[in-house]
Amino acid sequence: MELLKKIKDKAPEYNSQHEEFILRFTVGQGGKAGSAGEEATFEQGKQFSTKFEIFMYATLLGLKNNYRLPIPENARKISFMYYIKHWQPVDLVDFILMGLISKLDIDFNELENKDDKEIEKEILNLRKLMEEYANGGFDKIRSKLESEPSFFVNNDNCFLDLLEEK
Amino acid sequence: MIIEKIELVNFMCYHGKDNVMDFTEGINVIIGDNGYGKSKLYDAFYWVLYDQVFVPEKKEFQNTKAVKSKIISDKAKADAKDGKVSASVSITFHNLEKDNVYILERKYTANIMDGKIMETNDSEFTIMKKDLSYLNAKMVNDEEEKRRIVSNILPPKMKDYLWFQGEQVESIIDFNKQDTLTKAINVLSSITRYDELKEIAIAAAKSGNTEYDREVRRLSKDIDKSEQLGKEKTKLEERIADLQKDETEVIENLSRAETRCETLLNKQADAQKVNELQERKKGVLKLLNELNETLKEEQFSFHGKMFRNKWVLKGTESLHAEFSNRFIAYENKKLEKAAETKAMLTAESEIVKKLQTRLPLDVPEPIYVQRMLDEEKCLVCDREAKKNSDAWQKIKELIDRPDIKLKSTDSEPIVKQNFTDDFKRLYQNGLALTHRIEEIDSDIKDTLKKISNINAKIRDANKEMNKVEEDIQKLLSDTSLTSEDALDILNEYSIQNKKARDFKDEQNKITQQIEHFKTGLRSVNDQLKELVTGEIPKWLIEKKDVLNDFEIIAGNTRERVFNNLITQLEKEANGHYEAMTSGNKSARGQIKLRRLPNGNFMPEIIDNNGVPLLGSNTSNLILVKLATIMAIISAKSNDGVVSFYTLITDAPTSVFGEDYTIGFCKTISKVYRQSIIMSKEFYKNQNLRTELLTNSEIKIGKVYTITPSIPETERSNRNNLSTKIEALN
Amino acid sequence: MTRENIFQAYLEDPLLIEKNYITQAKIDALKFIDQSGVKLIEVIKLAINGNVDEESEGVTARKINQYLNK
Repeated sequence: MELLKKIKDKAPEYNSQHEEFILRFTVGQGGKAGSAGEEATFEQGKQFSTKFEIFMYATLLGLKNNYRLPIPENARKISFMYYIKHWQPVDLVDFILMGLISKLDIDFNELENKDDKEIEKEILNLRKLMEEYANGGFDKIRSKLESEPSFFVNNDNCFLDLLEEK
Repeated sequence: MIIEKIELVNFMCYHGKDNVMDFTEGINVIIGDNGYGKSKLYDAFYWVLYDQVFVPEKKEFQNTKAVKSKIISDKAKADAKDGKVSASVSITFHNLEKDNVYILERKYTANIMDGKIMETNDSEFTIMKKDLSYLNAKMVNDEEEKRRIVSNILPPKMKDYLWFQGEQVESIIDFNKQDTLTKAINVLSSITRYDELKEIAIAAAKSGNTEYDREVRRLSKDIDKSEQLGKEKTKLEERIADLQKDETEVIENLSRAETRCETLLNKQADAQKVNELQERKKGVLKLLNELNETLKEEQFSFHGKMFRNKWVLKGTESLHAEFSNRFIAYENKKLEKAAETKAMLTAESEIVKKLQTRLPLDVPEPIYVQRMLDEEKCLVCDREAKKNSDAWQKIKELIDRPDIKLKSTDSEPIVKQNFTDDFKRLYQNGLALTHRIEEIDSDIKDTLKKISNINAKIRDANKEMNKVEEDIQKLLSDTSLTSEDALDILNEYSIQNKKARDFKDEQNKITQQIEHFKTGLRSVNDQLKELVTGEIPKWLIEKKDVLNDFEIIAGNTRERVFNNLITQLEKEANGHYEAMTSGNKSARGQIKLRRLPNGNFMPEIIDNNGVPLLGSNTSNLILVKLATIMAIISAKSNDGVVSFYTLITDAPTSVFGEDYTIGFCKTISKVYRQSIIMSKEFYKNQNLRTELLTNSEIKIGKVYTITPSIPETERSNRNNLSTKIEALN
Repeated sequence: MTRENIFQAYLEDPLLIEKNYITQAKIDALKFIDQSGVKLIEVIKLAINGNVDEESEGVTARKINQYLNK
């Protein structure tokens, strides 16, 4: 069984409370289909072409700051229409998965000794981990929006700058 | 004669009695923005002397008769009770040389009955004369003397050159009229005297010639022949006179055609320049579009680069390090296991090898080997092999051999999954990306630098675009050229050029004809002389010669004086022009008064090589005109200072740039003993105002600001309008 | 423009010397009030006087004529 293939056959979810600003920074139309070009993104004043882009960004932001935030049980969640295997660019997706796998609380050699069912459980754990780091990232964006709304206004570099903030 | 004071009572926007301005020698300046009452002040001066005010809607001066109660302040009219309401202006002139004072006052009165204004037609004009040795002023009652006094203060023929509004400068020296300069010179110089003297000389010569001819005929030996020759002579003279008239006309036409050619040539050059500028504009526009496109691309990809150039990974190096540690540990553990397995395999394969050296596999076939074991005997060598004996065991090994091999392969430790490839892939991908992370900062910096470079280029291109646009507009407005005009210009130029050539040919033809008839005339004169019997009195011959020489000298002297005047004017005008433009270092050229075929002169600007500067901008042309006007007036005086007349002008400074304003004031204060200038330049620009008041090269008189009580934009009701006058020095 | 100014402008004419009416040295010293003894120059003075005194052209021409009728 191929571990990565299995992982990528999943689609993570995110807390619907972030949807508002996700839409604000992401091209709506075409963004869902992942077909919005860079031009459209820029002209609409948006920073991300697709929702998975901002999700990937949030995950990395969470990972980088080691900020993991579980999504509350009762929260309404929104699921991606597309599995991770459709996300682009692949090397970045792999990098994120790499980061997440290192955070898994299990020895790699032990993992190989598990049977398919147990592996499946671990993969679900990994997805949850991804959701939690992404949620952490989203929370950072949210708090920045709250404390300094102007940060995102007329600043082409805002998400780049946010990466540098501790 | 200097103006000492002006007092305005209820005159237009100057409501009330407190509108008094004192003036001294030097340049007096009245500062106010547009609509503040500068023109009305100019009107006040003009009204007193000429009973006229400038009506902006009609763009002309109109008499009190036409304007009537508009002269009176609206506030004064609104405030007035039944009875009389009047506006008046009085100006005090001081003749410093004779030390006497003239007070000129004009007053317009209207009656108010039941709140309605009953207008009268005329204003009253009084002059008070006061010799300073006497205490009291005396009213001048004689109308003729009043006229003389006014004319003395400002001779009517000179008033256009001394009292003018900014817009009038254009028409005083009209570059489109050939004789504009000649007219000005006629008015302001004594050249007309030389013209008159020339006329006297012509008349005297004519009468001398007639007298001489009469004597020649009287002394003729053949009266009939003389009579006939006399008639022929008259005919020839008439013919020559006619031809000379024609010649003058052709020369006029030639002048006109040449001037037209000149204008067209300038326009052609302007048109070409416009075209060039338009081409340049196209180029800049293309560059600008390209730059904007590039910028857009850069900005688009700036966002894309977040993912494409992995900027989003900034600061995530630790993720790979972490994975790397775990991956190495995993690999090591895996390697250890592999090593164990390998060692086992090696041991087993040793045994197999040994077996394989005795016999090949399945030789003899397993069924025979089994029989040997059952019979406890080797069927190959026919020796006994008791069960479990060494020999028996050896035989058994032949059957067990495949099992030994199987065991070694099966003995490898079994794992349920193998993720090595996946982990390795993640590791290698992570490694590659981590190398990229190191480059992100410089990549971002490069990109931002690139964007800011493009932005800088765009700014430059925009600047150039604006400049080109400005140049085009300036050129178009200076030359009042449209693109269609530009097309027609070439055609018309060739037409006019041909005309000019034709006129030149015609002129030559006429000149030749005149020469021909003159030869005929000489021959007739010779024949007449031959018929003379006896002697023509010496004194008569002398008289004739003297008068003819007088005619020649009178003509030449007139030309000489006029040309000297032009040379002097040109020098003087250039002096003023240079002084006025000294604030602006840009190329300004030189004024050249160019002679036309008909003897008129036209001012033009030439460069150092004598080439006319084409497409000169409006402000330069205005300055050329101002310099020429100043030269005409100042050249009249011996020392170049206009001491008797005051220059009064309303806002000519607004036509040229602020650069020139101080230069203009310096020059004015040097050329005119007294001047009164109304200007808005000093209203807007405080630095300029400070310089006006402190520059030691400006001989400054009184400086005032005027401020209306209601801004021009809020003046639908003028019933409260008054004007505040404040002295700044 | 005084009579003297006008007179001096006339004296600058080269014809006076070319036709031997007068010498340069004499011209240099000549003033309007001086008697030149040169008929042409006296005619010029008559014309200037007439013009400055605002006589009619005919009157001046007649004066000149009379002067030369000797």
